[in-house]
Amino acid sequence: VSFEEFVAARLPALLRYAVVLTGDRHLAEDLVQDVLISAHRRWKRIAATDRPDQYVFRMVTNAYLSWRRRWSTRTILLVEPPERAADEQADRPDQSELWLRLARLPRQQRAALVLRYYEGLSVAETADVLGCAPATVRSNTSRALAALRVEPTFAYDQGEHR
Amino acid sequence: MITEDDLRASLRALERLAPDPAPVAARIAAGVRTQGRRRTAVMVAAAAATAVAVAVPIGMLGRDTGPTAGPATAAPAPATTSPVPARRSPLTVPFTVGWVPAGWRAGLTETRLDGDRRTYEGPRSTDQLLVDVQFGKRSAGTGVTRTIENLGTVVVRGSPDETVQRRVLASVRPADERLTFPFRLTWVPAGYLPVAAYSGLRHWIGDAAGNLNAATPALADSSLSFDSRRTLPGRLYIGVSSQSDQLAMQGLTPNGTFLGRPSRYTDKAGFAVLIVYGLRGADLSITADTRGRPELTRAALERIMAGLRVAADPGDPATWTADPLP
Repeated sequence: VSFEEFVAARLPALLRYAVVLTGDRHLAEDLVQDVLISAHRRWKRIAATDRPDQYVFRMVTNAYLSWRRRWSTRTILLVEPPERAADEQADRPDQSELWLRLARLPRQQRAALVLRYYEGLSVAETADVLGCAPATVRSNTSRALAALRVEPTFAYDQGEHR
Repeated sequence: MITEDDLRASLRALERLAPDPAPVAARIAAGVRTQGRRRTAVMVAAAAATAVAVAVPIGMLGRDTGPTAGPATAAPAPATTSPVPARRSPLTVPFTVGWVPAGWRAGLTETRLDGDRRTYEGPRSTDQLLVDVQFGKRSAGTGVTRTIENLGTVVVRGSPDETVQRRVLASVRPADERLTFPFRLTWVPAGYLPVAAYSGLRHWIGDAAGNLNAATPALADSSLSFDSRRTLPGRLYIGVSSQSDQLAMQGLTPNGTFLGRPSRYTDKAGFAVLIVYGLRGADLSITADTRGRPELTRAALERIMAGLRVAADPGDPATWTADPLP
């Protein structure tokens, strides 16, 4: 697959992932743009891997984890998150609170949560993307869930990886 | 108790913020082209390995040396590598932008202890141009940059292509401009000082469904942020909005009354928010990050709100608070 074909096919998904990861539209744009320009430099090597999409996905995650904190006024000045639509409040009264707590998580914990609960990756796959041990993923996920006051499922309590 | 399904739903809800891929794809293509030119320039310089290499366009070899590439017509200000100056009052923006594309309008101007930003909004809701001056270490990211003496590192980024960004960058000049804030605060908790502020117009505003809609007329918006420590972005935000239905559009409806006006108070997850609708002709909001700050009580927020008075001169920070500003 050529770099141009890859960008055409995968850019929307990468932007969606980046915005969930960062919680900021502009930061997500910058992140994905930087990563793809950087990926272009070594595209031959990336295209030769089994899963170029997974490689770039990992690059986006690593870039997020290593990026210095940037302007965040825009996010913080929202008095409450915009997801508080009336129809959502009725059946999910705690969503705005959850969103605020999510924004405060340390990056490693947030990345672990997004990979596990948004991307649906297993603990082993999440560890692979984050470049850490599965035990670290479990520990980060557990701490993040506690901070968010999310009740883990029985399967998770038992150490089920998926 | 929140369930894992709630968490998944919250994460999926964030997808709505995802940007339009088309302009991002265009910028990636432009970035790839620029990269190719830089590589070529470096190879030429290496091969020559003599003073001839000086003839290689400087702008192709580094990002901080000036907007020399592209057909920008405005001449760039002299580039320099002098140390970045220490930050002074957070209430003055130290630069102007002399050129933006036709049809683009000035949006918010923000200033903080560590940098300043001017925002421009284009004809489409996805069009945005950001001009930042950063103090201290420059953050990673995209955009075109240059360092201006006695100002700092200027970064221009956003949806216009790199040629436009460089032209905007070339038009940046040092010049002080004060922000405006329409109210005077007669009381804030002891030790709290301004650390950030913004004012200006919003031409596009979001609704509860995550859509951006044209604001007609534009929404006049301003805010002061305070903290008792010199940390960013501050713990206490006092915001003023001119368009009374903006907060309602975000689903933030009144749940009480304060000072005889509809109001909303919530205290969740360490964020206390007091909004009073239509007070003195504006929607006023105070948001406090209350973690580890027992002094930021509901009573404190109400006292700040009750103490707001119309400023004698919205353009003079000396009239914004009862105590002298730093």
